[in-house]
Amino acid sequence: MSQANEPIIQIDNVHKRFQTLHGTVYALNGVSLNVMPGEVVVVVGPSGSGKSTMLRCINRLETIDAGSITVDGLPLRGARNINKVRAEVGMVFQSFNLFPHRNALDNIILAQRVVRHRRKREAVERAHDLLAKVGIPEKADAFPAQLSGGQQQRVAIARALAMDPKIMLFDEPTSALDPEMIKEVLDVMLDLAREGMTMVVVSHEMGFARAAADRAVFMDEGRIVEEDVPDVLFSTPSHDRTKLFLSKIL
Amino acid sequence: MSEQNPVPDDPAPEPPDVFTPSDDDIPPEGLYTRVILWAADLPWWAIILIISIVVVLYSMSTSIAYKNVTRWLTDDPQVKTDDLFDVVQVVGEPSMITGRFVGETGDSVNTVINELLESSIDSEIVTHTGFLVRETPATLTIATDDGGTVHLRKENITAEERTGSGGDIQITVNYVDRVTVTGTLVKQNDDMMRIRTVDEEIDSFDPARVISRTDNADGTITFERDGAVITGILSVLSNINITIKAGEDQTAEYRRDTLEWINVPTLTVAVNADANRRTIAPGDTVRVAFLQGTDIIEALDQLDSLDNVPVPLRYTDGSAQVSLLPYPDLETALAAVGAGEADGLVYLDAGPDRLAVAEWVEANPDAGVVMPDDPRECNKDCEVSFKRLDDTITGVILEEDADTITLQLVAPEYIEIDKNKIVENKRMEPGVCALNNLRGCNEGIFLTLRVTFQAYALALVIGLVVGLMRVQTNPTTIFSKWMNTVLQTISTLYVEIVRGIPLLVILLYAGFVISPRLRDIFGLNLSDEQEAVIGLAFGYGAFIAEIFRAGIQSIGRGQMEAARSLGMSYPQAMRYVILPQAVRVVLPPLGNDFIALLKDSALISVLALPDLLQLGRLYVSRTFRAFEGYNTVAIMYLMMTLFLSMMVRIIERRTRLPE
Ligand SMILES: Nc1ncnc2c1ncn2[C@@H]1O[C@H](COP(=O)(O)OP(=O)(O)OP(=O)(O)O)[C@@H](O)[C@H]1O
Ligand SMILES: [Mg+2]
Repeated sequence: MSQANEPIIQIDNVHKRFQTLHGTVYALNGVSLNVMPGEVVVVVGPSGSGKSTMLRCINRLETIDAGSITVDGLPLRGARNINKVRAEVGMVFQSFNLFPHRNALDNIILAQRVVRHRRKREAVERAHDLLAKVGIPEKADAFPAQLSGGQQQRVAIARALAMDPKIMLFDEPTSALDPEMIKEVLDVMLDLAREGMTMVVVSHEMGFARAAADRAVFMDEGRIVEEDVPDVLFSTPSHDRTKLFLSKIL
Repeated sequence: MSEQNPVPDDPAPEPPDVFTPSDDDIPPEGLYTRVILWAADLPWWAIILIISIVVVLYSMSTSIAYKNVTRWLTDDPQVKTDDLFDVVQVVGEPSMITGRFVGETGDSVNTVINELLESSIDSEIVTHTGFLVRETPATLTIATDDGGTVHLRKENITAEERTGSGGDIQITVNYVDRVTVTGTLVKQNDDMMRIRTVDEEIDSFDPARVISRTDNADGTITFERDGAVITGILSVLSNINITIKAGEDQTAEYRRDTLEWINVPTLTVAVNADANRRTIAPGDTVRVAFLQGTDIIEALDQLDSLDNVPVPLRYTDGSAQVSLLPYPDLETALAAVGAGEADGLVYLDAGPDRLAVAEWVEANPDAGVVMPDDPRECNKDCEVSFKRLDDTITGVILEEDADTITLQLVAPEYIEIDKNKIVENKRMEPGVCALNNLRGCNEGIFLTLRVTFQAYALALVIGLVVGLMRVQTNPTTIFSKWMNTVLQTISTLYVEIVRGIPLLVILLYAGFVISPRLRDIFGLNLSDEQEAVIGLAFGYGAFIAEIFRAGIQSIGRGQMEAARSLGMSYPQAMRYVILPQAVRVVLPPLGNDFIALLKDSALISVLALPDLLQLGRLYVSRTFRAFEGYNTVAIMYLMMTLFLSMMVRIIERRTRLPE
């Protein structure tokens, strides 16, 4: 479908607004972003700047009001088989969102069986492999409530990876975690990045961004203000707003 | 940073565990100590409840009155029965005939088919051989080898082969001969059904009535019996027949020439010959003689109902003074009437002496006593007794002892049919209520339970569908947005309307408005029970829909998003992710609704269904034992609901997620 020299995600002048009781909120105001296959993009920006909304638009958890998004060559607007697109795009949430009524193994197996129609043995094998990969092979039988936050987030990553996605979206995967758990999650993500996974990561972990990301993007008020190599963007930002924001979080 | 927990908070925090001695810190104890410890840990109200239940159940189980009402409320279950089902089965037996085809005629097909139906129903399964004579579009007629002819419907023919030509065709057909078997299913397994086609008949009587007995060659015994004395309430008395009320609305008729004697209460009036001519003025005293020990009040009542009362007695109930004179026997009473001591005699007797007055008057024409009227027999609604002439009875002795002889007059007959050969199952209705045939138990507690379970199952389906309709989805297309609105409007209307109408009214609607309309418009015949189930389910569906909606909405948005982001469709996400979690949340309120439904099922008695309450009311109205009747009804409901809430607790505990 997509060639190596063609972006796997094309976001073109996307607008998104929410109708609320208190009026209209303009969450995205003409966002454009291209992500190449194998590229790791880190998105930073102040709260309410539309980072989550952009991610959620990429796998159409939100519909867009204007503009276009193309994922792996398929335009999302009016896509009939949106579930097929979603199966190719893994998403990891800030609040993990594991299925509490199923143990870690079953969390990873469920979608493989239901969406990918894999045979049971195949799905179980894959789940065990992934649990080993994220470093908690011994927690297969544990229920989400019995896991620490870091362990839960790693199961959530394994769950998304089990679908063999081409793209992984991370929405602040570590911001609900205690500091000592952040590292174990970031290590898993770093491994993924080294393996060549296309990733869009909303995160304020500068260390991770510098180590893994090919590009950093600064968003504010529903727009992409500037983008550059992480080292450059973080140390010598060209916009005042970026400077202000970075000075607050560093 | 605080850890955000995606698990929805358990709505019912686990109640503190009942005290259980653990092995670590308490030395092992005997059963007695453990029971005491367990009992001591129960709350006071539980102890009172348990003690009173034990006391009530014990006193109920030892009381005949409670035993009767319990039997009545549980459809009088037998321990064991043979009457499993009443069945009508059509059995087809493939058989083969060979014959010669003679020719074709244009005979009316209808007459042939009618003839066929008659001959095949109740016929034995037979095999014919013969020649084919006639063929019509629907039938074949074959001249069989033994000289007869058989008509076969072509639809029963499974294979046919013809040889020869013209007017001389040799034909071989396989056909299915149909036999209708009607009876009571007494036993069945995977391939056989045993059906009782003839019911047994048994008679038992007192050996004192036997006049003679003869042993027959076939092993049966014939008794000549002294006729039985039969007593009953007279309903018709004619010169030829006597009809009495035998049961509640049954009558038995006997020919009078088969009776040895018949005693009907008879009213006789005899008066003093002089007094008979006298007129009685108001204020006079009328002296009425009667026999000691007879029911004079009843006699005077009957006298009142006569149109043509003899003169001296006419004023007995009017303005004349009445003085009643008892006499020890008929002789002296009649002599007193003749002597003018009494003006008249009123005599009512149901025994053999009922015509004694007439006989005396006839025998003593000069005694000065006349009978202005013939003796009047009661002709309706009084107790009569009569004795039948000697009868004979033939049968096989089942049991004989000093008090009774029991004869089997007709032995039951059975037929065993191969299940594979049944071509049509015309009827199959549950037989007698018994422990080995609970299908036959249809009344009282069984009806209540069945209606409750069926209504609840249906209400769950309605509730789930409506609940899902009410849940706000995240529509992505114009069409689904529009669909969403329509579904939400419908479901909201349903919930609001049904919740606002009393369940009793909904039941009456189901029974007397909807069901007759369905019958008129679609020809759909709903039984009373189905009406009740639909009514209850429709009413409870609204509550259950609300429970499901709340349960689904209590599951965080993140769960649906996580499922959808993995590529699951909306129904898949509901089915595998949302509902399994929602079910745990809704289980306690669903259990409560089930118990409420069980109690509300008492309302179905308005549809004339014999449920627990209705039977209880019937029992009370018949026996006036309101105390026992309603106590038992209440205890039965209570036991069912207590059992159910226990089950609900257990299920709740089982489905709880590990912490
Ligand atoms: N479902 C919604 N309904 C209404 N407003 C929404 C909705 N989701 C997001 N918004 C609004 O859109 C804007 C962008 O939100 P978004 O969650 O994308 O911000 P964010 O950059 O991810 O912020 P944070 O760093 O706090 O997560 C905010 O103003 C938010 O209030
Ligand atoms: Mg966000």
